[in-house]
Amino acid sequence: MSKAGRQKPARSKRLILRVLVNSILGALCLFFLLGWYLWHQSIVAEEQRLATVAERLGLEAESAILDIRGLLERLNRADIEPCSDLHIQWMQQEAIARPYIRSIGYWRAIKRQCGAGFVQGAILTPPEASRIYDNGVIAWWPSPETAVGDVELFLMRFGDHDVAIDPRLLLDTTALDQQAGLWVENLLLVSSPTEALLPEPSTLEPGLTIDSDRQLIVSRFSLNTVFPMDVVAVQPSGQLVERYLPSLITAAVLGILLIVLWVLAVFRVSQRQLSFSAELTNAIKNGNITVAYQPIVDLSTGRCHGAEALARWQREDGEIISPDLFIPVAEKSNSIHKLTLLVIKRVVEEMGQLLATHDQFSININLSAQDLEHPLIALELKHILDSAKLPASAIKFEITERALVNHEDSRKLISKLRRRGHQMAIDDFGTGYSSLSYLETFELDTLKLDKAFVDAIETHAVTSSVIVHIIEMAKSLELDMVAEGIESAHQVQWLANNGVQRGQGYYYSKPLTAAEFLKYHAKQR
Amino acid sequence: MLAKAVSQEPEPLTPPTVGFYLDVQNASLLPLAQHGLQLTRLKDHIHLIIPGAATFDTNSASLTPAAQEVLDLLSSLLLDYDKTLIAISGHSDSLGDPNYNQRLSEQRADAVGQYLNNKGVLPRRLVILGLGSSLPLVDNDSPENRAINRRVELELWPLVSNTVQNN
Repeated sequence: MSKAGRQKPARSKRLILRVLVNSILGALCLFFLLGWYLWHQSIVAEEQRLATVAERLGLEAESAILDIRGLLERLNRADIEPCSDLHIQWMQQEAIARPYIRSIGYWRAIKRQCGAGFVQGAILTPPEASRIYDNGVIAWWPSPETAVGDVELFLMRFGDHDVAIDPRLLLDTTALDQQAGLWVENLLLVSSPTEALLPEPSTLEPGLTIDSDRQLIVSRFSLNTVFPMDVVAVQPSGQLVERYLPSLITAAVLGILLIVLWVLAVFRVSQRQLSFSAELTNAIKNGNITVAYQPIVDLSTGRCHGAEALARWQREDGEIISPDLFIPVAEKSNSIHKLTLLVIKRVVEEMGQLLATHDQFSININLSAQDLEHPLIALELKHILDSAKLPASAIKFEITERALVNHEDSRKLISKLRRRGHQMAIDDFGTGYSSLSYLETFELDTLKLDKAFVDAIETHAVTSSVIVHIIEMAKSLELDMVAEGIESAHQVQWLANNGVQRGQGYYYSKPLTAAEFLKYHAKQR
Repeated sequence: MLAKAVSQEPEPLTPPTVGFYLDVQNASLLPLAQHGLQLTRLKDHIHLIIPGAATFDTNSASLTPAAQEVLDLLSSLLLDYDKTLIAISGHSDSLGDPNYNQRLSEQRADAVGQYLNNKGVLPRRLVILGLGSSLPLVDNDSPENRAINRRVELELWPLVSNTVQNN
């Protein structure tokens, strides 16, 4: 056993290391997962932005062309005298209303009769139409033959009217940082900027393409209402990195910071826990656990009949640790059984004399759930009592409700201890989850009323309190009752009146050291 | 023929505008395609084929009311686009007497020409030919094919100044 104790520090270090490595790995996984997710999201956002740009440009160009076609149809249909003031005025208004229209003309065959816009005298008659559609629309894509000045115009004619369009204004790329181009029937109509090298739409899948060779994200949007039209928008993927890098770096730095903090926190906590647990194990091994005794008093006579033994751990720095804190740690580190045996030994050492000489006197010792499952505890207990020549009745055991939950081993041990002559008390009753019927199946002698119920006597209308029912229940099970946490005469009165035999609490005495307790007990005489 | 027509045209087209003229005229003729006419824009002229079946009664050179409707539309377009020579040729299948076929094809081309003339198309723009079964579109080996071959063709030649055209 001492050998295992010596190995402990090495094992602890390994454990800490393992916890650390695990937490770092976990944090890194999380970090990269988050990073990947952010990166992925930013790419998706960027792609969507680009796709939206291509779609918007396409729809805008299309609506402009549809608008022009509608205008041509209206002009042709109108019953109006050609080249009358009204006719010319109308054409002027329509031309001014649209930024992309450079002129509107009225023709007879190939003679421009009149019109509006800047092409007053110059008549564009390109030698070959780019496309004559079945509906009669003729289109001349921008070419040197359709140029006026430096601008190659896009001409559309329907019936006797034609429109000259500035294709640059079909693609509104103001406030755009992408490059974009508008194709009509696979012919580049306009691009922005003019010198942009854009991939042909015919070489692209509709939607988004990632050109990793040239580091480009390319979006193609196609529509086919008047003409087959394509918009290709291109964005260097480097731009994406530029745009999102600052936020990614910020996120990364923050993430790393959080990881460091997290790992530190895990390290500190695990180290503390481990050292705490190791220290406790050590304290138990070296017998640095003391026992305090809280007197248990007959409520009607006020005489002390026994005491509850409470383990006390004073750390090397003098700090006294509450059992509420170290008992769970001892349970976790599997040293509770040693702690219990230590307490029993201490009690026998300190109170052996008293117990031997007062056969009505007994000390209550707490057993944890783990103790009840320990195969050797009964044997070791017998050995201790036998060598001190004490009867089993000198030691009563307290077990918590939780310890009773469904364990055949516990049930067997309780039965075994009782057969030897130990009385069994149930502690903290009413705070757990066992039912009366379940409690009945255990062999018990005493029920300890929890302080919470006793407190209620002082503050609430007691008659409606749970304590009344618990007392009734204890009576029906023929259990003795010990009330815990008594703080006032009023409580003593009430409890005694309701048939509770004994009690403990600050009203009588706080937990005392062995010497103090012996003095306290002696005074009773 | 074309040279003569050009010389008679007071304002012939200039060479740079011919393509534009043909494109625009072709676009204006598109509605005729809906009436069963075949319209083809060739490099230097426009070719129209009027199927015989819907245009004439069998063995007759008189125009059906439906054909007159089509020719009304055509004539108005030819009046708008008056810078073309209109070569009208009648064609027959190869079945029966070649002389009869020749004569019928002539009469049919003439009927179309007369109709257009009545609608105001100047005679100097019109050239009328009967070609019998000499220029079939397809082999005359089935009733369907023979129906295709019975037709009147119109060639619209732009009147362009200072050019030598072979016809």
